[in-house]
Formats: sequence, C-alpha cells, structure tokens
Amino acid sequence: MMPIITRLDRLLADHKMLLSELADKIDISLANLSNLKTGKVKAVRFSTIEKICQVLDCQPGDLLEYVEHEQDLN
Amino acid sequence: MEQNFNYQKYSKFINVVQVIVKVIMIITAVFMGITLLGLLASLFIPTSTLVFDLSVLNNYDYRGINIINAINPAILDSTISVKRSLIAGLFTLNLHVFFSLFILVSVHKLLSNVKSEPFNTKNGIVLRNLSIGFFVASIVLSLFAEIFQYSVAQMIGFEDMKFNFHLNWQYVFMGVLILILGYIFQYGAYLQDEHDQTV
Repeated sequence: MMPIITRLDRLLADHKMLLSELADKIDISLANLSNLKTGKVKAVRFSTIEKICQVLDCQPGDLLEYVEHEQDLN
Repeated sequence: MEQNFNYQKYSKFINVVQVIVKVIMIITAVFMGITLLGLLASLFIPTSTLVFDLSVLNNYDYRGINIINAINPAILDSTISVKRSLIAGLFTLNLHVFFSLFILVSVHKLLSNVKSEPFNTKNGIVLRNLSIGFFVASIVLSLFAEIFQYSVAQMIGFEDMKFNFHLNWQYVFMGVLILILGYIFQYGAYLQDEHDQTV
C-alpha cells in the first residue's frame, strides 16, 4: 500500500461535491479521479493538484497525507 | 520541450503497411503450400523417373569452375538420379519460405498491437522471439543451403567442391538489432505504465 494517501473524499464531503462534478470541473476522467481517490495511482502531476486545489479551495497539504506503515518502517 | 505527434499520419502509415504485410503473407502461405506439396510428392516419385542428362552442363560455370571439366568423367555418359537432391532442395526451400512466413506473422502481430498501444510487453516478446528466429536462421538456413549444394555436387561427381558452411552474419546482425528493439519496447511498456498510472 502506498504511504501517500489522498483526502479527496473528505474534501469533497466538506464542499458537498460529487466526484463526477469535480471530474467535470477539472477536466479529468472520472475513472482517473476515482483511481486517485482510492490510491491506485503511482503519481500525480502538479497541474492536477493545482486544479483540484483551485476548485476545492484548499492547500496541497490538505489533499495529500503521508501515513507510515509497519512494512515501510521495517 | 513539448513534442507534437501526428497520430493520423502514423495510423495511416500503419494501416498501409498492415495491408501490404497481409497480402505478402497470403502469397507466401500459398507458395509454402505448393512447395510443401512438391516436397511430399517428391518422396513418392519413383527414383527412375527423376533422371538428368548431364550434357546440358556443357557451358555452365559454378563458383568460377566449369562444371563439365570438374565432373567425374565416368558419369558423363550416363544419366543421374536427382531424387535425393530434389528432396534436399525442396526441404531447404521450405525452410526459407517457413522462415519468411514466421517473419511476416510476427510483423503482422506487431502491427496489430502497435496502432492502439505500441509499448506493451506483448510487442517486446514478439520482437524477442523474432530475434531468436533470426539467430536460428543464421545457422540453420545456411547449413541446409550448403547441404543441398554439396549434395548436388556429389550427385554429379563434382569432386572439387568442398563443404563450406558459413554463418549468415546479416541474419545475426538483424537478430541483434531486433533484440535491442525488443528491449526498447519493454522499457517503453514500463514508461507507458508509469504514464498511465499518473493522473
């Protein structure tokens, strides 16, 4: 499991926005955005983070979180 | 620096090459069928019907040596059976045609994948197999061609000719080039995967 996770679901809930609405606004496919939300992507472009932060009025730090796992510590 | 890629032109080019390869593949497959039938038929043709009159070789040179002067005089007044050499020749021809078909099928597989997703592991494997085919052909095709020529020489008592096997270096270089290309495609597949998993 990737140690970097997104808090997109929390941000969407705070803004009462659906994932599909966000996908339309930032011009990214729903499939890709869903992969981002569930942590199935390997990397995120700065341009994508910028668009999400613009729409959700947040900071990159609100969107991304580092979570240590036991495996990583070992 | 951002690079532009004309996908339409690329797609058209691939389509044209695909059609050409398909046509050549069909022609080669039909030709292989004919040569295979010829080979099978030659196994059953009675030896006595496949005879050759050596007087036609009067003015024929091979590898710079006048054939008639090099032939064993004892057999000049007789006819010779060509069945063994015919089988060897047809077998060699079939090997060449089979190898051509193998190349065409590999290229066809590659072209089918290349339009939509050029960089994937499948294409890397096709290229790797093609390179192995070239390495094998560099030995096998040369060997059987030489066996055929030697059998003809023995048949007509051509004692000056020696068995002279040499590796087909062109095929070896082609094999190396295609192997490198295969690795490049596999690396491309890795980069493609990285790209696909980047949002």
